Amino acid sequence: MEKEDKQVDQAVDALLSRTTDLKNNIQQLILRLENEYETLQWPAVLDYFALISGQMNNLLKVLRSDKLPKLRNRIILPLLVSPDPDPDLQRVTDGRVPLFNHQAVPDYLRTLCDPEIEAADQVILNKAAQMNGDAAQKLIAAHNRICQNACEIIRSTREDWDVDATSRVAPSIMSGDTIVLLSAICGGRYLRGPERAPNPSLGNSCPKPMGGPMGPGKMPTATVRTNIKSARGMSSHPYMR
Amino acid sequence: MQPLGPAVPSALNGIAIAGLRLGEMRGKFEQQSSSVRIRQTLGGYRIMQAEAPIVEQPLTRKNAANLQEYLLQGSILDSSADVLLNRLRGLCDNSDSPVELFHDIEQVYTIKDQANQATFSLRARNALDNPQLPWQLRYVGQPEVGDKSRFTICRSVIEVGTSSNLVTWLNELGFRLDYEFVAKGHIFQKGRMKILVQKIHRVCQSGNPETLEPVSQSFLIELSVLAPPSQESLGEEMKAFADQLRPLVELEKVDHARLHVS
Repeated sequence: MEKEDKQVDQAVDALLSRTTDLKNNIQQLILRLENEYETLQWPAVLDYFALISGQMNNLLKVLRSDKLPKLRNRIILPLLVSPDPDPDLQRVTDGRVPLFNHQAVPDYLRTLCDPEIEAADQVILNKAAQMNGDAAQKLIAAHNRICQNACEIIRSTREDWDVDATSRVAPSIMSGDTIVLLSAICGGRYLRGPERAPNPSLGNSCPKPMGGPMGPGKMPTATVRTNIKSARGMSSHPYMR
Repeated sequence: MQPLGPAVPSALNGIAIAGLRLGEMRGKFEQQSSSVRIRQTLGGYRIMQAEAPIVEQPLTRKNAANLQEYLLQGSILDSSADVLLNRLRGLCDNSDSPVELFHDIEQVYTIKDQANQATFSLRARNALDNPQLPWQLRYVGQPEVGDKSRFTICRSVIEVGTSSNLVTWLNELGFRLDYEFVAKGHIFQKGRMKILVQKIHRVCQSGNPETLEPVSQSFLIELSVLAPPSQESLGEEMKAFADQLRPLVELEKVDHARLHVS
């Protein structure tokens, strides 16, 4: 009997240490999400997820191991349910459970599912039990076929989607326009005389690749507008006040 | 807000680089600056400071406000600008308040140095939608592209708010209007970064800023920070932000040497 008690103690210790690791990691992740959401990078979050999932696996491995005594044979017997706040309990649970009253007990010491969930579960189990083997096989086959079709559709249209996604954003930039605008505001080009910026037709839906040098020969000769005086020669400013 | 005191002498220092007679200019500038107010940066930052006394400081290079503008530039077609504006509104600060608009005229005045034929230019800017705001005088240095390890271009910028007779003053000094344009657009702020999405218009009829014609079918986008030199982390911060706007718009460091070749 004593030997079994020791085993249970060991198992509970192992479970405790695993859950503490898990809890710490989740806490760290939540902390970073709350405080560093501006600088937090996706790869870091994914690292956390990987860590948490690994620790979950560890915990389950401990639970499934053969050496673990049958924990389900053990029961927890609540000896005292009190409506007063319990500082010890509060400390042990990091402030999550301030008091152990009649409302908290069913939630924390529950060994069965919610009655509603159990009822729903039972309906499904009954349905499964009534079905005979042949019908079940047929259903499984049909289900697999639908899944395969869905996979096939996704695979075959993925390329189209990718092309769509790139072609939708591509026309947002006209190559060379940055240079045109900057040479206007920094050097006064296109602003002084009758020279106009190159004005490609609006229907041109495939912009040139970015970064191509703009030779002077590409500028279309602008229509001459004689009523524009060159601003260069003015001696006084028009908006004087 | 940058301190008001050093702004005026630093603007003068910028001019001094161009080789003007400093003493004469300083006298004139201080006459003008009795009603000088600061308008924080270009593009419609409507933060104004109450009139403050100008702090007298000796004109040495040491106390010049040595600020660099870290800059990334790009453009976006008019048709996609709305998408960009929405995205910027979500990404930037104060996303719950309406987007700030500006409508400014900027005039570039140049002066020729008789001795070595070099030209030197200053930019005067005024808000057309709110002419009561102070004019803004700006000196913009040559941009440095730097090597690949630097993500942004970098140029020295000296700005000062002035009274409305700035243009008269510039003309008296011998500056002549070189060119002018009207910039209309939206301004966003994200931390210390400033993002301008603006449409550049040429003024068809000089003297009449109503007769406008867009220079191109794109909006010009500028992502800039004004900071002391050699702040390496800034570049990464700006690059991270620029990456969030991809592939809608490519903000990059544009080599300004390429502009003058074509």
